[in-house]
Parts: sequence; structure tokens; C-alpha cells
Amino acid sequence: MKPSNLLFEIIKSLSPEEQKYFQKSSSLQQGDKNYLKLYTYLTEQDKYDEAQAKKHFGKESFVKHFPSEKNQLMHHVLRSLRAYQHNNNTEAYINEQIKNIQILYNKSLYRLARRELNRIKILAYRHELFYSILEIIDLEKVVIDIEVRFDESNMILLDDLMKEKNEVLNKISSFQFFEDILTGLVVQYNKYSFVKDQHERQKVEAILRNKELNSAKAHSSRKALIAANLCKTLALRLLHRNEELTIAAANTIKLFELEEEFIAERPVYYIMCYSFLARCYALQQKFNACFSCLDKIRSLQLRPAFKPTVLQIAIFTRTAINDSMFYLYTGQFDKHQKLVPSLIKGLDQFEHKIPLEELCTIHYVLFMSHFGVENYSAALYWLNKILNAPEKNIRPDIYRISRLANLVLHYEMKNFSLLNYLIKANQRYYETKKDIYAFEKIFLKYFRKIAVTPKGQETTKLYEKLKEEISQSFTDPYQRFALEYFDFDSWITSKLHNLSYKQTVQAGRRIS
Amino acid sequence: MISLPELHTIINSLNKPEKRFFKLLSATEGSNIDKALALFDFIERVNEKEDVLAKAKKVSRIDISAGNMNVLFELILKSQRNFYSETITGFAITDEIANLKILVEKAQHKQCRKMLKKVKGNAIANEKFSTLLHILDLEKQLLATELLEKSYKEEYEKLNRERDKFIELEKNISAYYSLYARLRYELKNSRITERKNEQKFYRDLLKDPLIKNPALALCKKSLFLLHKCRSLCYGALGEQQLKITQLLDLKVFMQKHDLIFNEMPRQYLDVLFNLGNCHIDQKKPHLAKNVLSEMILLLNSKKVTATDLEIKLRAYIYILELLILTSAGKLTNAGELAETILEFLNKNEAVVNREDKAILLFNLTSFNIYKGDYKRADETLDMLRKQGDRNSRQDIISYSLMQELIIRFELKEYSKLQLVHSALNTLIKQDVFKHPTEIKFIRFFNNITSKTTSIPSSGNFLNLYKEIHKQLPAQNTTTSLFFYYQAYISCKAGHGTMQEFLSSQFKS
Repeated sequence: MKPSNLLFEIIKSLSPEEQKYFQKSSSLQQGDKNYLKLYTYLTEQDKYDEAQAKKHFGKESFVKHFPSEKNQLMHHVLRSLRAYQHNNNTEAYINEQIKNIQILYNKSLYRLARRELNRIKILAYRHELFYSILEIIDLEKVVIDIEVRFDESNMILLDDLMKEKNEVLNKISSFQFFEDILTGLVVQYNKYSFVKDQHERQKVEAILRNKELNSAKAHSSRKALIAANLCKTLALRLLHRNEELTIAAANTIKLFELEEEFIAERPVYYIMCYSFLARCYALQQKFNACFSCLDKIRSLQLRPAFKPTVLQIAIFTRTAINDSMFYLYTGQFDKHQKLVPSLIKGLDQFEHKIPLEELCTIHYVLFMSHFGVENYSAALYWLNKILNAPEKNIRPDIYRISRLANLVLHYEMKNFSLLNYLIKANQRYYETKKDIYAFEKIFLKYFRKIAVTPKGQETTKLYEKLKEEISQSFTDPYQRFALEYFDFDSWITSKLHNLSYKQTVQAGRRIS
Repeated sequence: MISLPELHTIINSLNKPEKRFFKLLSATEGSNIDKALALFDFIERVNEKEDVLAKAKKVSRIDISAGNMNVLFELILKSQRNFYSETITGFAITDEIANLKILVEKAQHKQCRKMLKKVKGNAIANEKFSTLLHILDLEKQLLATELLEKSYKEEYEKLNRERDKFIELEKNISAYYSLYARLRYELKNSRITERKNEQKFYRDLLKDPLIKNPALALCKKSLFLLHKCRSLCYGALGEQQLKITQLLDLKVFMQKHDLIFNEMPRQYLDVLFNLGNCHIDQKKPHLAKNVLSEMILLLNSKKVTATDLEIKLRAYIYILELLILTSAGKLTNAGELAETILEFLNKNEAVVNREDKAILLFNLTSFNIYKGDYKRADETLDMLRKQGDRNSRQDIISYSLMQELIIRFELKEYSKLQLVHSALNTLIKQDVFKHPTEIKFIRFFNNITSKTTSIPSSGNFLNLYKEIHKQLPAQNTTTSLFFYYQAYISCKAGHGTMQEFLSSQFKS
């Protein structure tokens, strides 16, 4: 079995503050600590190599039970992280306070336990930490029982407490109702970004019409209200209804910003709302507003609530994708090239932890960036990452566009011998697909001919026919999304007028 | 804000290992807690009985500002949380969930999935359904990151079904708790005027579908509460055998399921205590002794770690032991125990709960009456009275009045006796005392109003004894209260000492 490098990854992910806290808390036990030696060693390594580590500690007796020493270190690291979070996160703080109540109660200090319980319950309600409230209610049951024995309460309070508990459970159910809708929409969004056919459109429109989104259920808690608003925002994004989306996203952001804690609890959605808003502004050619949204996302990196790795990754991917899409969509490939080193740096830092659908998108924007500046070999490197990925269904839309873009790329690279093979492979691929789009069919039909026809009048005619037919298919809103990834229209125009792809894209989408 | 006496109580409640751990932990906290540590050292040296506030005011170098006291309080709690982090089930699960969140934040999804399975299994085994709702949230979050194409929808729906089930289970427990709460309220607080309806209340409750049909108890916790409610109802209805059957079922059920003991250890103690009382009531002292042995074993086991539990268990052991000894007429042994009990009450005054304390004092009063030491009996009764009557158990109030009747009579405090007698007559009118023997006993003292009144002779007592002897003694609804006023009558009628009467009862 391959040794796990989880411990190494966690240690490497520690922020300087977390490292400092760990070192401070590990001084709790006196004497020489093996786990601390291991910790120090691991912090100094760039890659995890267990054999090397064992060799390094060859003279130490603990090397004989190395896995258990690793476990011990893991246990201490997690413990110190929990304690560190207690000071920086309301939920963690409340959970520690719940333990305090239990301790005071076990020490027969009921009055103190009750006082702490009341204080913490108010705090938990204020932040709508429903699961913590349930834990508190569970403890309160026992406290009431004792208070009754001390004549300081009566059992009717327990009955009231159970009613309160049921209300909390109902709030959880209401919140979860919207969460379930939201999750479905997120899955759809992560996969396609748009509704891809009439059937999907109807389903998402039905969600938008769902009266519950504005019902008492949605107002049962602030969290439910945010979730309901997120449902609307995401549905509008999938439906491509940008005018309404601008308002919905802004409203959801407002709700989030009413309480910092809600942002800390659902940071990814908060980032997502800003990213939607940025896109809407870009499409409305309100570029300043778009950039301020992108800057807002970037600035989140510095906020303590966004320190966790998973959020740093979310900020990196969202920023990378949003910035890139903006530059690539408007044909500013040279400007985007300046971003490439930071994208590659981010990938180096987080590659294995980035959600696959976002990783796929980043690979795609890197391909497009290099394609736009006619650095075809670099473009091929990034495109191959998508085409050779083991899982093709993560972003099926990007994968399918990439297959067509691959043909274009090899055509530009004049790899005609390979092109023949690729066209046949593509034909076989599309033959098996029931949901092949008209534009894919048209492109393949003409591209096959273009590829085998020597440059001249004949090819121009083919390009003209291709342009005419493909433009017709792009009037269909379900096919038009493809242009956001690769502007086939502009590429054909560039061939017809002997211009570069960059020039035609820029001409088509002039920026102010 | 914590007060100095409260801090004093907390520090006094710490045992040696806890104190050692506190010192270790504080050594890692840096120098900004020096003042708090100085305060800790100072309080640690103040005796339990001393006035810590007065002492602190005399020592100028001690900082007793609210801020410093709070720092110390937080530090003590932190050390306690760490000290018990692995021994308290609830703590361990909370920590594991926190670990899961850390792993999610650190984008260690695979490891998180592995750990999640373990934590979920643990929470299911302990029927921690609200915790499971939290875990399901994390699981959904993980699922979203994994995006297992085909099984995603299926998995998500499975999690939703689990969520609905856990919510249903939590609501099921709540429903049983509500019944239990109403029942306990009725048992403790029912006003005398409502007494006639009592039987109907308990009978109706026994007919409630939740109580009648065990299939409606969807989890072990609910099932436990069902049995508990049944046993309380049978107890209130005086159906002792049915009550014992329920209590035995409960005992076996709790022994079989650790989670119930871990979640509700006090309830387990109640079950044992009630069972012991029922056996005494049924004059089966050998069975009561068996229960007592079980309680002593439990006290010495590692299962009882919390101070609160230990004190409660000790109180129950003392009550049961005193009852076994006094009801068997072993008053010499009971005398030694009575001293230990008074010492225990004195030492743990603030932490023994009022109900247990009242029962202990009531039984000590009974013991002193049996011994013929009425002055001592008056003292313990006075201690009981000082607790205040408000919301006290109705049975304790009524039967302690019966004890007072005897004490006032024996101490020749006739004017006070008149007041007690009048209170008892009111209770007869209110149907609190329903049994003819109890009524006869109270009415016997009808005309004793002063020294000049003719004091009943042993002949009068003999007549009363004969009348009462025809009928069985009244059964108390709460079996922890055994006051054999018959022993007193027998003694006054010239049938030997109370001890002899009690011994004969034991043999019979």
C-alpha cells in the first residue's frame, strides 16, 4: 500500500499563524517529542517521500513504528487546528462553549451551567447555527431536569423546550428544501453553465416559478432566505437571463453582506454571486462595474474568513476563470498572456485540490490564450490536458468544444497527416452521440472538406458555406453558448479575410 | 461574568489530575495570564468553608477584577475541555466533526470521506440524530466535490432520505420527552384540588398511543422514555407489581444499551433507586440489598466519573441503605449511617439536589423518631423545613407533617401541635390522606390542644393500635418515603419498642 501523504499535505497547508499555534500548543507535553521532530522534518520538505523520511530518522527508535508516529502527529495537528479555529470561527467557538456547559454541569455547577447555556443559546440563534442549537437543547433537557430537582424550574419547561426543538427542526427542513434545489442547480451549472435543451429550460423555469421561493418557508430563517435567493440567482444564470440575473445576484450579495458570518459560512456561493455579476456587467459592456466585481473577489483573499485552503482555491479558480473569460471573450489575448504565469503558479500550488470541472475550465482558458497569440504548441499542451483527462464527463460541453478546437489547432499547425486521422476519430465519436448539435455536425462536414482541399477559391467557397450554415445554427440559444468558448464564427471570418483569429474576435466584440 | 465565590467552587471541584493538567496547559499560554494564575493559586489555598471574598480583599497583590476572573474561568474551562476531550462521547464526536470540517477546508476530500464514515457510524450507534444532520450536510458538501456522475443523484437522494429519517427520529424523541415532562410535572406539581383527576390523568396517559404501542418508539431513546413513563404511571397508580416489571425491563434495557447509560446516566440511577424502594415496599429486603450492591459497584466503577453523578449516586445509596436498616429495625447500624449522611449533606450542601436532600432528611427524621430521639428528629425536620416548601414534593410535605405531629406531641409543644394538626386536617379534606389508617391516626390527636387537655394514655393508643391493625398500612405513591407511624402507635400502646416493631415487620 502506498504510504499516505495526507499528513504532509496538511502540514504544508498550515498558515504561518496555524504553524505558530501548533508549536505553542505542542509544548504542552514536556520532554523530547518524536512527533515534533517529524513535524519539523516535514515542514522542511518540498515533496513527501516516506522512504527518505525513514532514512532520515534511521537512528531513532520511533522509525520502527513510523505509521503510528505519523498518526500521533496528525492527531496533534488536528487538535491544534481545532483549538485555533475556536478563536476564529463562531461555530467552533460555540461548540467549545457547549462543552463548557457539559463540564460545569458534570461538576454540579448547575447555575453556572444554566448561565453559560443561556448566553450561548442566544449567540447560536443569532447566527442561526441550527445544529449547535439542537446540541444546546439536548443539554438543556438535562439542566431542566436538575433544576426541577432543585426547585428552580418546572417540567413544563421541558415540554416547551421540545416544542422549541421541533421549530428548529422545521427550520432545518425549510432551509434544506432550498438547499436541495440549490444543489441540483449547482450540479447542472458545474457541468454545463447553461440549460442545454428545451427540457432542461422548462425544468429550471419551473424552479423559478416555485412559489416556495417567496413563501414563509423562505423567510423561516435568514439562511433559508439566502438559499432561496441563491436558487433564483443560479436558475437565472442557467437560463442566461442576464438582466434579471444582475438584480438577483446583487440582491443575494446584499443579503450575504448583512451578516459577515453568513459569508464565512457559504463563501463559495458569495464568490459565485460576484462572479455572475461580473459576467453580467461584461455582457452589458459595463466594464468598470465588471472589474470592480472581479477586484472584490480578488480582495477576499486577504480576509481572515477566506484563509482556508479550500477558499483560497475557490478565489483563485473564480478569479482565474472570470478574468480569463473576459479577456478571451473580448479578444485581448496579449493582455491575457500576462496573466498566464500567475495561472500556472496557482495550478502548481493547488492543481490536485482544484475541483475537476474548474480545473478543466482553467486548462481550456490556457489553451485559448495561447491559441489567440498563435503559440500553437503551448496551446496544444493545454488542450491535450483536457482531451487526455481520464474523466471526459466532468465538463462535457468543454470536452466537446475541445475536440473541434483540436481539429482547428492541428489545421493551424499544418499537421495534415494527423488531421485526417483526427477527423475520422471525431466522426466516430459524434456518431455515437445522440445529442449532437447542428453546429457540430455542420462544422465537421465542412471542415473535413476544407482540410483536404488545397487553399484557393474552392476553400473560400467552403468557408462561406460553413459560415452561412453555422451562423444559422447559432441563432439557436442552446448552441450559441459554444461561442463563449471558441468563436467559430470569428475563426471562419479570419480565414475568409486572411486575418488573425485575434483580430476578428476583437472586431466582433469591441470593448469600450 | 463569573464571581469570585463561583470561581472558588469550580477550583474546589477540581481533582488532582485536573489541577495538574491545568498547570501544564497554563504553562503554554504565555505570560499574559500570570495574574490569573496567581489568583488560581490564591483561591486553591482558601478552604471550602471560608469566605473567599473577604480573604481576597485582605490580600492586595491578588487581582480580583472581573477581567482577570474571566481569564481564569476561561482558562480552567479550556483545560477541562482538553482533559476530557477523549473520555466524553459528545466531546469526541464534536471534535471529529471539527476535524472533518478542517479536512474539507484543507481540501483533503478523500481522507475526509474515510473519516466521515467512522464519525457517522459512531453517531448512529449513539443515536445522535441532530449531530447526524450536521454530518449529512458535510457529506453532501463532499458529494458535490466528488461529483460521481452516475451515482450523484442517487447518493444525494439517499442522503435526503436519511435526513428525513433523522428529523423524524428527533421529533419522535421530542414527543416522548413531552409526555415524560407532562408526567413528571403532574407527579411533582399536581395541586391537591386536582387530586381526584389524577388517576384519570395517569390512566389516560397509559392509553396514549405513544405509550401503549412500543412500535411507535422509533429508537432506543424513545423506547427508554416509553418504559420510563409507564413505570411512573404505574407508580402513581399504586400498581407496584407492574411498576417493578417496568423498572426491571428498564434496567435490563439500559444495561444492554450503553448509549442510554451514557446519554442519561441519572435516569439509570433513578431506575435502580426506585427498584430498591419498590423491593422495600414489598418487604423484600434481600432484593433491595441486591440493588444496593449494584449501586455500590457502580459507584466504584469507571462509569461514574462526573462529580454530579457521584453525588447523586451516593445520596441514593445512603437513602436506600438507611431505609433497609431502619425498616429492618437495625437502628444501631442506622445510627452510624445517619452520622455519615449528615456529614455528607454538610460537605456537599451546594451540590446535593433539593429533592434528594429532602428525602434524606425525611428519612433521617423517621429514623430519629424510631429511635425515640425526638429532639434530634426535630433538628432534622427543621433542616428539611428550611429548604422551603415552595414546589417541594407534595408527599414529602404531607408525610413530614405527620412526623411533626409526633415530634410536637412528644416534646409537649401543644400549641404548635395544634397548628400541625389543623394543616393535616386540611390535607384530609383535600383527599391527600385517603387511607383510613392515616385518617384515624391524624384524628387521634384531635383534642390535644394544651397541657391541661387530657393526654392520651397507653390505653387510648392501644385502642388506636387495634383499630389500625385491622387494616393494612397505607401505601405511599412515592416509595422512597416510608414512615411507619404504626411503629410509633405500637410502641405507645405498650407493644415493645419501635425497633422491635420494625424487626417483626422485617421478619413477616
